[in-house]
Amino acid sequence: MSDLNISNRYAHALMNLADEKDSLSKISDDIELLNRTFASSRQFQLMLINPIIKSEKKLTIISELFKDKLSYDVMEFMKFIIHKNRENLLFKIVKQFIVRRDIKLGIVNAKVISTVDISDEQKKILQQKLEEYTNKKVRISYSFDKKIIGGFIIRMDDTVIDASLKHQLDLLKEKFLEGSISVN
Amino acid sequence: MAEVRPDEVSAILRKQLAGFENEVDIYDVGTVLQVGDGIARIYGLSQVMASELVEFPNNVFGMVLNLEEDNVGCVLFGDSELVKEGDTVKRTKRVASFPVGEEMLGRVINPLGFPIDGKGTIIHNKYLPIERKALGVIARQPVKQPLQTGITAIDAMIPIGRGQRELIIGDRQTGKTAVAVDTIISQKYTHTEDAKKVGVKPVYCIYVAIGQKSSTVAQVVAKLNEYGAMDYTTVIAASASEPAPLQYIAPYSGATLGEYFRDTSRDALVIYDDLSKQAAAYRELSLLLRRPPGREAYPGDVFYLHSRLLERASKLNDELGSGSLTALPIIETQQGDVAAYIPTNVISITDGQIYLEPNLFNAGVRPAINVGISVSRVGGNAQIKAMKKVAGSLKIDLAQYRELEAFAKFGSDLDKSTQRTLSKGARLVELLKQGLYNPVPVEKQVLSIFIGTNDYLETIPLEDIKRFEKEVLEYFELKYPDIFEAIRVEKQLSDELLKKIKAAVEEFLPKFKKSS
Repeated sequence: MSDLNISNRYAHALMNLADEKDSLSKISDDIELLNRTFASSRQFQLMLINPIIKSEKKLTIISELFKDKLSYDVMEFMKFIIHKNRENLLFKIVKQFIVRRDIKLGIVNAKVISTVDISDEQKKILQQKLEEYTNKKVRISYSFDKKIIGGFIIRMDDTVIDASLKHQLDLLKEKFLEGSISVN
Repeated sequence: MAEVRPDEVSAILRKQLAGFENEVDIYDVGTVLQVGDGIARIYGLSQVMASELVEFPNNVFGMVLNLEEDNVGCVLFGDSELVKEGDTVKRTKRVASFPVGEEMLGRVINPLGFPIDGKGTIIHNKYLPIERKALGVIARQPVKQPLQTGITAIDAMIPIGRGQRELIIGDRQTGKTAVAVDTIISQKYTHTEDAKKVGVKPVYCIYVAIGQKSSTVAQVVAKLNEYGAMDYTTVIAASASEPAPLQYIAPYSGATLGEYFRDTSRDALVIYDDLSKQAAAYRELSLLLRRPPGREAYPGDVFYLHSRLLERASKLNDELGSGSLTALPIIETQQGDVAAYIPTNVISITDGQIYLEPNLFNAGVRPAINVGISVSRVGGNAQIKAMKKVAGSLKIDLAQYRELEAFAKFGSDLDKSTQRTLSKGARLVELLKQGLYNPVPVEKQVLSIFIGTNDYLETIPLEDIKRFEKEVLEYFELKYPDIFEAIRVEKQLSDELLKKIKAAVEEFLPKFKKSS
């Protein structure tokens, strides 16, 4: 079975657990914390993947690291994963859980790329417009890229809303080339 | 010289740009996970359809074939070296399609519709998807008009009707392509005014070359040009150097173009040369897409690969304009093994097969058709009455000859009637030999067979048969052109006409000079 399938299973199980105990917000906070830890510490990731380090050792490290920080359920879940020797997939499981949670809560992640800073007012309008467009809650992250020359690009999952100047210029170039012979 | 004013330039520019809309573009994307061997695996593209075209950077196109849980498997129509891991892939929201229209005639194009004959772009305004569902029962009618191949042995004994699917099968170097090319050349007659007068509709031809050497394709095109057959023919070529996906879609592109003619109430003929190579190309990409291999390592749907293609050949009913699409698929066997996987599949799908044999070919019987195991299941209804009348006895005579052929070496020890059957059979076989690129019109075929089956050849030595046939046809053409005219127009042999023919042949017989 592929890694994706396995991590999906565990994420699904954790999701069910959260539903059962009605503690989705608590568990998802803990998972976010794990995600941040993964993002900030490469060493932590490497430690989990490393097969030379014994399970007991990993367990000790994790209990020490997250003592008092994680809820009982998430801690037990981590122990369970280590017990099953799937700690190398923990990172993927966390990612999958976040994806599943977003789907469940009806949240879409949007990435906005622009060349200049977007004002708070504009951000508010953008949020409103995107929520209207998708009929879902939208969580937006902003970033800059000078390469797009002007305008902006919004990416939500696989859909791209492209209003960048660079894209317009590319289209114009294509239009000029229309009718000329082109072979792959 | 008049000056070009700057305002004029900008006015023209503005006009040119008027059609360009400054709009926000919304499109779906994915990311290349893995690429190699002409296959790309893509993450994302969550809404993509099966067999949709997707666009990679550098103007490379691909077609989606596998929709999996966590990725999309896609074949590349271009150079896979131009695509890298991490590249962005765009949906086109359009399934793979092929440009159709009259402007495709006379051209050599690749399976995506790009010309490869160096004659410039083709301006076309209509695209049809390459994968179309074949028509149902209601839209069809039985095959009833003949498609003259110009090859006497085929037109007499294995007749092909418009809308039929007739397989041409044989080992390498047995003249499979020659039969197909002869058939195309023979359609030239249907485009003449003469044919229009007797109610024969023109047949548009499509020759699909799959996995062949480019030099072979060039040869075929040159021959078609030489005989003026390119005017009504399109050649679709996916030569051996093209990636497997292009070879795989080539026949479907051909069928799509053929269907365009069929659906506009015309007759079309499409030749798939050859489907064994297409199956091999499909096997290649299926294995690369990790679909499980079956018998001879072909994937499980290799039967459907050919059945859905050949099912598209059809004769439309009168309400739909009674157009037709005739298909002549070609299969190359290995060492005469017709029981291999692909040959048995295609034999079972088609309405009959023309079996070409290397032994006959080497013995000088060309076209090397084995009439014993070649059949046409529906073409009989399509034969003109005159041909049906003379061909009946031809079949029986040849069958009797084959039965006794093994005894031929006993020579004069045999009884009279056996000797007669043998000598007649040998003469008929000789009569059915025919040169390359030399299609014979139906009225001449009828006359030749009439002479052969009515024992006029008994006194002619075997080595003189071909010369005798040639001279008798010339004699008729000069002296009795009305007989040919009558067969062509009336399409049947009345007693009166028969009497006339008999008299003319008897008149010619004493005039013929034997060579020894």
